[in-house]
Amino acid sequence: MKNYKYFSTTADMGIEVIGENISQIFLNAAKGMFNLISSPTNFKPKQEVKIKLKGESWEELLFKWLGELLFYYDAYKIYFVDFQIIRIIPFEIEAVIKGERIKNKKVEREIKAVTYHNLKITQKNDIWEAKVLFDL
Amino acid sequence: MKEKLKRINDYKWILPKEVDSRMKVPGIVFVSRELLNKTVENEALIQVRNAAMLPGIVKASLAMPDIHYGYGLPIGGVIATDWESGIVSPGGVGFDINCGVRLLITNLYLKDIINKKRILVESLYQHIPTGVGSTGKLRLTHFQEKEVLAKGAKWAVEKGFGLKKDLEATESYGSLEGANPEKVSYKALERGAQQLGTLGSGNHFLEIQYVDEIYDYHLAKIFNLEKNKITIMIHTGSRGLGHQIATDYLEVMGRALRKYNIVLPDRQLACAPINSPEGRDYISAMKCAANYAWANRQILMHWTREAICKALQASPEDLGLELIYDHAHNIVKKEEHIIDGKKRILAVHRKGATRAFPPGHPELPAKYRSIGQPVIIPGDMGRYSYLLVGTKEAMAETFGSSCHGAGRVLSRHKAIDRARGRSITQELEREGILVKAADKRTVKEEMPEAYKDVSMVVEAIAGAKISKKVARMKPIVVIKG
Repeated sequence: MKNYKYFSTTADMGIEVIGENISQIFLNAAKGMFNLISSPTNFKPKQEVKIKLKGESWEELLFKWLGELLFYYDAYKIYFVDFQIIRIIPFEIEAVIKGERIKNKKVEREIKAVTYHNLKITQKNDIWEAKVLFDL
Repeated sequence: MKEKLKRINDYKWILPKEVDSRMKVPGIVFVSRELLNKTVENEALIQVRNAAMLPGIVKASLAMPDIHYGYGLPIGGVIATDWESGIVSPGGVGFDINCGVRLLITNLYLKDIINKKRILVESLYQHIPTGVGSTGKLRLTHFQEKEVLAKGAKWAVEKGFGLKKDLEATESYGSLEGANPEKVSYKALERGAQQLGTLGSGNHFLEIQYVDEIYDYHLAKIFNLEKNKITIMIHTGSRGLGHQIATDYLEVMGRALRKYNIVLPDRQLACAPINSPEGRDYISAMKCAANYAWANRQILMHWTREAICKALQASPEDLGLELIYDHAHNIVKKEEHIIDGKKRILAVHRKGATRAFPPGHPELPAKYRSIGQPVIIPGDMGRYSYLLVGTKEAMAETFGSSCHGAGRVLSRHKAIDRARGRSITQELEREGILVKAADKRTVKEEMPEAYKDVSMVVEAIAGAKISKKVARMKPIVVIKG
């Protein structure tokens, strides 16, 4: 079973993510976001970036996490395929992400930004769920 | 929410304040009954309601006829807050700060280029950096970039990208005063350093068009427009720099909500008092992004001139490319308006809405002061775009605002489903429209059927008298990212 799926609004698209813990939510959201940009099979984990972020809630941390990945992607044209979460506690994350410069490879869609619109993370029993809308 | 709308006239509907006790003002939606029934989603009306809860909002939460569901404010949303006691909301502007359009006129007629479309599309595609993640031909240091942020289109003209008179035909002369680059993050500067002079992707485009219908001959003559005249339209914004500034300040405003005890139904509408460090900093940074976008469109206009001259082996004088007008459709501006008979200074947020100032407005350049501000409404790549002018009714009813385009009607998924087994590029070519894009998926997602018929939207704004029709243009060459 895929641990993320896409949804559409009239103008934009988003992802619904599930996981057994918060770490999987952050991991699957990152994968889902990059899959929307292009297929990960086109890229290899050649370059790495270390990320350390703090927030005031899980929602804010997820907004910052995806926003940080999008920054490295757009500013330095690196498509990320490998996400290792070293440490995640309320509400901090440390991770190492690996990817490859886009150069002339095929990129299908631009994500302008991560939005806060209806952004939520919920936990029911052992299942975590998150919903994020992107501005395309 | 739709059932709670009350009809005022054929083009105006009110969402009464009594619908929700948290609303400080009513919502007003400018649409025809047909548009309301066929295209306005319930979620978009909820967003009109949510915006009516913003502290310091004046008169009403407005929606233009191209309203559709966005994030925070709906696309096509206009709100105004008191400049002294109100708030500013980055979600009321959007991520693509000063996304906007620029309309150019040439000396050419349809007959001059009808057999040269292929060479034109190739030349434009070569000269104009397009596509997802595109970087430009310019590489700026942060020091140079800060000059762009402070000066806007003026910087581009000083560097040889176009002429001084282009600034006269640009909203706010292509440069907002008070832009402070020190309020822009390192991240935003990094994203912007390689993207100046790029078109981007998605709904951004460059089109060669011809005038196919004139509605007002007197006004058309002032714009030098006549039937079959060739025009060019450029639609893009502040690229990654603007997206990052909006993202940065969304976080700042999230913290401001707690600091200033503001409660909102949608965090995307997060805001701060204009008269607060957070509010002032956002406005300074937002102005930087607006200036970057004006410089961007100015540079793209210059390269368009070079591309067409090369393709047609013509001189710039032969081509005679001139700017009719350039305006923003995602921005917040400090403006004077009359509210209940009194002059008020307001922060007018337009998100997917165009300024449409009336004849006589002091902010208009001399050449347009007697006729009103040009209002450029792009449609989809298969049908039409329009030129209109602002009216006194717009000033009275919509804080001098009009719509910004057709507005999507199909999601991207649905558009791709609808395009399955079809070649949209070939279909458009059969209609006489040559399209070149970096990716087939973009052409499918942006197919004409994915948008409302812009003519319906224009009929609604003309019917509501918030703009006056001048001319209609039809695309013949389109480049997309």
